[in-house]
Amino acid sequence: MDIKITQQENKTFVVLNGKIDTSNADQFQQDMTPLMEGENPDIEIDCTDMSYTSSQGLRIFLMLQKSVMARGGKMVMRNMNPQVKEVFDITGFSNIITIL
Amino acid sequence: MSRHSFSNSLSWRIIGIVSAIFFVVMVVIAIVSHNIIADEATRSTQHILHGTISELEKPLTTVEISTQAVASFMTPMLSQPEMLQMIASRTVEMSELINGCALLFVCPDGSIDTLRPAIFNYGDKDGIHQFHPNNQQLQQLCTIWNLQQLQETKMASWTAPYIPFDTRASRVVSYCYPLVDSMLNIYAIVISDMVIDQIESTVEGIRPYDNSIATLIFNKDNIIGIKSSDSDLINRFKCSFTGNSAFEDMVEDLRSNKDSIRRRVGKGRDLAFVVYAPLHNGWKLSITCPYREVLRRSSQMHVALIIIGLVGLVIIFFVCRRVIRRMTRPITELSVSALNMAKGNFKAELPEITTQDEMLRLHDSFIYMQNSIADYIDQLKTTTSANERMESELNVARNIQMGMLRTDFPPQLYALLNPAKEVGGDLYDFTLKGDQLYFAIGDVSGKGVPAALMMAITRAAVRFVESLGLPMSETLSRVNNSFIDTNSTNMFVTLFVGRINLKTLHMDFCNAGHNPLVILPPDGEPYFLKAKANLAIGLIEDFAYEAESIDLTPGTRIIAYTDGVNEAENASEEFYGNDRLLETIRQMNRDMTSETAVNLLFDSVKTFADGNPQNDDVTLMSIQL
Repeated sequence: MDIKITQQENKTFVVLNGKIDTSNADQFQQDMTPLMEGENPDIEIDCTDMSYTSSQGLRIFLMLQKSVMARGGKMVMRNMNPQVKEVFDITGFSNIITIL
Repeated sequence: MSRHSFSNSLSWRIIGIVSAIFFVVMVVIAIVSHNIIADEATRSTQHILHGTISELEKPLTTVEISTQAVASFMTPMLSQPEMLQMIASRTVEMSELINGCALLFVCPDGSIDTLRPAIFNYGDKDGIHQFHPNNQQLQQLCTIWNLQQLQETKMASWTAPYIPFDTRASRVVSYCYPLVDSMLNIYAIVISDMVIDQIESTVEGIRPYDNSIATLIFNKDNIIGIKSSDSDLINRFKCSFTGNSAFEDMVEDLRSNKDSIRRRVGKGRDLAFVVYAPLHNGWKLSITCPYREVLRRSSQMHVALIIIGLVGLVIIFFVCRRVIRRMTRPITELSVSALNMAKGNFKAELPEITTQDEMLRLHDSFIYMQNSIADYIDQLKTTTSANERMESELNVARNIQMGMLRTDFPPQLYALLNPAKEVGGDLYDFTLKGDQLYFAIGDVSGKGVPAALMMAITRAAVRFVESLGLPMSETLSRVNNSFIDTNSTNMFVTLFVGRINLKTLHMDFCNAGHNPLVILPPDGEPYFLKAKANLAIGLIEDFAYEAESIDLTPGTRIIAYTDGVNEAENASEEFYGNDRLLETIRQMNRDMTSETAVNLLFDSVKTFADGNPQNDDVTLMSIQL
């Protein structure tokens, strides 16, 4: 799992690469925690190279979404591959997270 | 103490080094002492040589002076044979050394003057006698006296030893003194004889070393001092001086150098040195000494040194070993302590160190290590017991969790739950109420204890809500709301609930974000049951879940599962996947019981994972209509 976080014009850009599974879910949560606070809530997550997420990963995306909404921001996930998109669809996460 | 002890090996090394030094010292001592002794021996032998020469020259000089005196007496009396006879007779009588005196007249052409008869007097134990040699004897005497040489040199000279023709028993040497006229022609010769015995015994008496040989050389063919028993030695030294090049060399040496000469002769064990010097009359005295004899005493000294050295080495070895053993005793004792520690005795006694050297540092390090290990072990014990306690608690928790899952399966239904850890977040449930078969399968996000707690809550909620006999959508809404009440950690549950009328085979169902069921019709291909995804439980309060329904045919098999199945991974990080899932279900035939079907699928997943550790909880349910 490789994560790149950059700040541009009050917006946080996250690029995810690899798998989110049991072995790295805790680390992923730690990496994402700073994004759940602060005055610039908007987040755009690029999922082009994210090959898999477990339910722990989903939970972290949910936490991100909730914190963004609570601060009046908007979170967008982009370029999800079909397998990952399927997981988001099955669990209904596509209904609460904006996937473009 | 084992043979391979530190003290032994170190002692052997010391002995090795000391032996090497000892050997070198011995070799140097041997070479130097041999040279010194050989030089000293040569010098002392030369001293003896010169002393002996002086001793030998004394009687010779006396004879020479006496003969010259006799000659001066005889010169005015040459025409009076009686007077000459008397002078010769008196000379023999008076002199202790001269035992024969003769006068021989010589013609100017060098031949013997036969007109004037020679005078011969000699003395033996019976008194003084006259001797009248015949012509042949006279000729021989001329040769012995070397008249020819006298004619040429006009100088007095000594003869080699010879046996006189008269009655004298012993060999003699003669001093020939020529009388010369104004024209430098020899007209007569005065001859004095001297017994050789005394000279011979003097020469034989020279014996600076055993087996040394002294010789007096008169000329090439006349040598005294060699006894018959010595001839072997002389041969071995290749120094017989008779007719071989050694003699020529010696003559040459003595001609160019008046002093004594030293030469090495022989080889190997017979190596010897020869010193020689001339007497004033041209005779040569030589002394030959074998080095073996010369160096005998130094060789004895060497043997003594070697013995002392060897004894010293043995003593050094034992002393070294003892000292090293005493110095390294702490190491031996520390190794015993270390062994005790290895056996678990961390209070093992350590030896006391009185020195301030590396041993003390080792000792201190050892104490430090002992304490560190003891602390570490204590800590490990604490951790281990905590872990054990937690493990046993987890086992209890697992039993409790497994106890929550029903196993009183009706004939149509069978389910299996295999957590990845001791406890897991998957759940299933079922209730048969009249013709209505309720079933539920769910998966709490995450694993382990947190998931297990949420699983228990969910299972309880599902059981309670089902008992109310509400529509499926309402059922999930209620479960969702009750879950949100208790969820502060953003966990969620995917949950599928269904209700089948076993008579009509009509199934109502509602899916809260769970994996789709697989339907295997009796005579058809398996397919995923399309269902509205809705939303996983626990995300949004008061979410309006939408229920659906389907009519099934007899013989249909329904397979429900959690994502631990399709997302099971093998060592090459491949997922089990939907295609394998469908393929496995395709192989299930109608007559197969639900239990067999579940086990078949579970075995297939396990075979696929091929020992790769299970990442997620696995739950399987089969319903055979």
